[in-house]
Amino acid sequence: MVYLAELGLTGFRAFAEARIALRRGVTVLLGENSAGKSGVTDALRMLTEPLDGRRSLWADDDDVCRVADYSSFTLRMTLRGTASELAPYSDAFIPSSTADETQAHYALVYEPPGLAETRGRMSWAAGSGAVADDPDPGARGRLRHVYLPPLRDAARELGPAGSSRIRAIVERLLADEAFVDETGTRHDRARFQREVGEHLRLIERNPVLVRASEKVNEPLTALTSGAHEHATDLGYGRADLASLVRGLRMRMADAGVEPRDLAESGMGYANLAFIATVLTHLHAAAQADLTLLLVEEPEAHLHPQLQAVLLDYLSRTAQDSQRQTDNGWLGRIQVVVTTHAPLLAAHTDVDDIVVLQRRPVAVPQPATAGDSPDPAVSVRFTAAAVAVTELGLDAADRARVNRYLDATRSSMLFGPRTILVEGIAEALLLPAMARTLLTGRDWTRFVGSTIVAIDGVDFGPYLRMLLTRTPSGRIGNRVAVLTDTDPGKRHDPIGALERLIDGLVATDAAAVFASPSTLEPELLEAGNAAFWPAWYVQRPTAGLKLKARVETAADADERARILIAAMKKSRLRKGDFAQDFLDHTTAGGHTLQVPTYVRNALAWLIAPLS
Amino acid sequence: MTTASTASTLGEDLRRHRAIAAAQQDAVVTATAPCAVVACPGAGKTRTIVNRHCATPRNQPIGRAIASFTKVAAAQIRARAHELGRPDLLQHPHAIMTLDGFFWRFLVRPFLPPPDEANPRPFRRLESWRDAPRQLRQIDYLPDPSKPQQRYTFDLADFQFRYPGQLSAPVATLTGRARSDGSRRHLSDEQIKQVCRLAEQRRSQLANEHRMFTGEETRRVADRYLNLHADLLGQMLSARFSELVVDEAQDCSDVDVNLLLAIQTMGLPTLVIGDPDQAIYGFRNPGPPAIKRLLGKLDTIELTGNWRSSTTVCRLAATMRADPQCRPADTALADHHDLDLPVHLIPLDGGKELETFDVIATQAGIPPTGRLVLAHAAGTLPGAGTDPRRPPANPTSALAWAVATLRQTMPDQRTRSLAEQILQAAVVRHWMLDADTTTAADRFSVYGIDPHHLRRLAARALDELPDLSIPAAEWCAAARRVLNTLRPLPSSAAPAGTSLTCPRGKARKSAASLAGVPTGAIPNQAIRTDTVHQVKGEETDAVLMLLPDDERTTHLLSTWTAGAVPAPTGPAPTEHETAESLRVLYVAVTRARRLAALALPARHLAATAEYLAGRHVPTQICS
Repeated sequence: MVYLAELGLTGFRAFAEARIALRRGVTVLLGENSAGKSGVTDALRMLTEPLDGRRSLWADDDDVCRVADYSSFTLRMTLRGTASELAPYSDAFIPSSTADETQAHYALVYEPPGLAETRGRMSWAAGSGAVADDPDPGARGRLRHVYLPPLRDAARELGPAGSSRIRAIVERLLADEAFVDETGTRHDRARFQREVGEHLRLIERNPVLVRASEKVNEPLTALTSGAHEHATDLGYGRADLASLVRGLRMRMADAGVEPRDLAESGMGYANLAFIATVLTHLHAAAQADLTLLLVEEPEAHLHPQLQAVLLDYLSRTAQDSQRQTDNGWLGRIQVVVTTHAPLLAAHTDVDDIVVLQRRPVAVPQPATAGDSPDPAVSVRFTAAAVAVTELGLDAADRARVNRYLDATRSSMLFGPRTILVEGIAEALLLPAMARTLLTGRDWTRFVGSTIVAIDGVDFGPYLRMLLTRTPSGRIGNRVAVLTDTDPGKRHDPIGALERLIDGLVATDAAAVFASPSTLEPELLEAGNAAFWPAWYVQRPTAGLKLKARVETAADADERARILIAAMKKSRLRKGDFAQDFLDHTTAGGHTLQVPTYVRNALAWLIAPLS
Repeated sequence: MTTASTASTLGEDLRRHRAIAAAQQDAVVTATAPCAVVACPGAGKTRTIVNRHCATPRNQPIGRAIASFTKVAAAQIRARAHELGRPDLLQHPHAIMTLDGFFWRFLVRPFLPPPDEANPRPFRRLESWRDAPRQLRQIDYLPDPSKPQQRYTFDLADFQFRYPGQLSAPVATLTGRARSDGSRRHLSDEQIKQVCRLAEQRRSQLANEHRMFTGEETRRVADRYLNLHADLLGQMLSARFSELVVDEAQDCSDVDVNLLLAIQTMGLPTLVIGDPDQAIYGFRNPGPPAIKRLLGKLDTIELTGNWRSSTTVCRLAATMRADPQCRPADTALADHHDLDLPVHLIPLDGGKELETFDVIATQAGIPPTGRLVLAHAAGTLPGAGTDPRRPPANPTSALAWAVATLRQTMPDQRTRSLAEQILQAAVVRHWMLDADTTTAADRFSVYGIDPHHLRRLAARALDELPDLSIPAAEWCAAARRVLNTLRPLPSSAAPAGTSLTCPRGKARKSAASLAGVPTGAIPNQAIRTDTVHQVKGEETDAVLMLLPDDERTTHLLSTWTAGAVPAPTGPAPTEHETAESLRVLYVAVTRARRLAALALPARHLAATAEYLAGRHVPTQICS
């Protein structure tokens, strides 16, 4: 059960100071753009060795965080497992209070080159810091990673340039004592080379090739006969494994169809083929204790269902690797996926989700700011990470959030501003209302917010997930709850929500905006001319009578009571009503009148983040 | 005179014996730990360990730990792994290191508390107190506080320390030349006791506050952590290593044996290899060799084939064993096994014994480079009154000593590296502030000095410093000029450290006298002289062991010859002390390949010769 449990970053890329809890199996890192997703992946790539030993990522000056005065960066990793699993990393042990689990801790410090220096310096320390060295760097060689970059050119990777993976798979089969063909024959390297070589020699004797060779030889003989006579023939190179595999092309097609060159298949399927070879390579990598499979944006090139299938497969791969191996190596696989696809978030257990965010930091303006063309530079961002497990949600909340978070609602994990509404009607009307009220930067902020219709009034689990404070902060920066007072109820839902927010010490980050009644009466109360025409679409006859009754009512409360009763009795379809309402507003050339509580909610939502 | 037929029989015997010895070695290669290997001198025990290690398949997740008291084993494994194209045998997961290093890495380091506000220093391990910064290891003693100019300076590295028990404080002693050098001989035993108390305090301070650990502190803490973290270590050690091999195990102290037994109990099987007859570190803890407790608990394989010495030397050695009755002489397997060269007993005669030895060796065709003159105590050796291996405390004198040492033809490895470090320290001290309080290992982090560059500067200093025959004041001035040109950092403008000054009252004497080394004599002296403890594990063609004319020697001879030399009346050393002296003698003669000679008081010659003749050891008295 050994795994990389925690990653720490200090002064690295967008991270001023962050610690990221990772899961034993799959961790899905969600975040908006430049929230530090690649930073996390790259930190893991620097801390562990590439599976094939060919490092392609090196630290440089630009990796040091620009916010605040960092002169170096530090990456830390904590491994967790039993004492015997972590025995190879004994130099990195940190004394632990729990007997059944031990931790091993490594820190990597990079100092960029100083003046007149051409190279930076990397130094490692193992353990608690009691002794500032790493006496056994070889141990870290047992911790590896395979990196799947975003937007891969799979056709190229699997083509002639990428034959090394295919070669590794073939090599492994040739070395595998247990591998036999249908007739029970063992194929070792010598046999493979001999058999394939014989076929190649057959091709070489093809009359066309023989004739072509003679064609070349005629002038050559004439040219060289004066000196040492030379001759050529046409043939394949030595039948060694490297040259045989180099000629292989991965081909693919729908099952049952003649496979064609990969370049002719769709990008998405080519990518899956690429991932398949990487995973096979991963199994070949049993001679390691832990291999991190780092997948950046698997959603690239894949349609939604394939994304889900892939995630499921990766999670099973990690699960399967927990089994005991018989060769003494632990052979564990841990998957870290970065994504900005809400769909992948929806397919992930919330416990496996880590939300990455960028947070503004006020940087003191330098004294000589005169030559700075852009004053906005003074506001910078650092990245932070909140793991859902850190929130300490109870089982009931976790179960609900898991059910509630579909592809649409998961969007709330990607942005700083969220407005939670009860139903579809609010979700439909809000953008139109914002359009009438907001312009410029305010409008942009609204567009960058997430509107989540929760289909009910069970705001609790959402609020607890968004607002619970962890040492790394909260997931939600600004959460507006738009709800109804629903007069006549005996309990006090608004008060309950406010108490919940109070209890989470989140009054700076969340606020409840309640209509005095419900949405529809408030639309009428705000003076929207399109209200009755929209009502008539669903209730053409009863609507007129209702309108008369409403107009004779004494006050707003009574008007609301009548309307709510009518909506209940006539089972008004609220979503359709909202659509009709917007259609009539536009068609009638009316201005959309925004109820006060919505107006307040929007104003609060789009205020600048502190 | 041997006939052709007996020669061929002898040849067959030799082949047979060699085959037996090879089979014994193979048994060690394939033995299952835990077990013990008792190996005679010249049995090729380190090579056998190397062969055992080299039989390891590639790509193993679990490694083997090989611990030794010297770096010889590591060097041999490195050479062999190179031959086999198996560099992996030296790397993780294997751990090839000194026993100190093993205890530090696997029993101590993981559990040390991290730096905190109370003590922000990290821990560090020192090979010896010599590696501590100068200011920290230097102890000033003022016998009379009203006379501050009458000051005695000691180095922590001069003292011998031992921990009497688990939690008791260390006890320091000062003996030998470190006690009696120069003006120190005027200090009374009572004053030396005071100095030792100061040394004890300083040592505790370095260990507790500065967090510097030498082997002793490491063992002390290891002992504690073994109890404190028994569960964790039990799981960890057996999963980390398949076995722990301890080479030269006879050098284990009591504490070492305790630790090894505890490690064994925790599930890490131990293979110890050594020769109890060569245990010569008993002065650290009195009593029989600690290794015997370990051997008593393990199955034992014996290696009895001696590839080094002639039959005569093997027989001589056998008479010196603790229990000569139960172990016959080892089988001589070398090509010169039947060499007809008796043991030579030479009367001690004020230096003439050395000439006699030279004549015998020359007659036997052994060149001066193949000769070694040994003694138990350095004071018995001919030549200088001071220990040429111990640098003077004063930094200027130390620099002169380092130059003298490195300009000699053959300083031993340890002395050479000590001298190189002093040269490096001199450069840093000249240029850098607070160099006397900065550990050598910290020069990069504190000053940014590249260690490779510093080595180059030290080499240049050795090259450019003037000859030591000139007056000390002149030499110091010239040395300052040289140091001024050796910039440790490209950015250093002017030297900011401590300038080299000539010790008071020495200005007119030669610089060589600062070094305390008779520089003139050394290049001519082609024959190496050394203490037995320094040549452990080595071998040479001819050995002369000097036994001084004192009561200890008489007791030693009496014990060795089972009373043939009568024991003197008067107080006798303890049984263990005499047993250890005999083991030192054993180690001395077993260094010899062809010729073993003993120089002893003339009056004991006849009895000793008679005893040896009775044990069938060809002996010749030289007069």
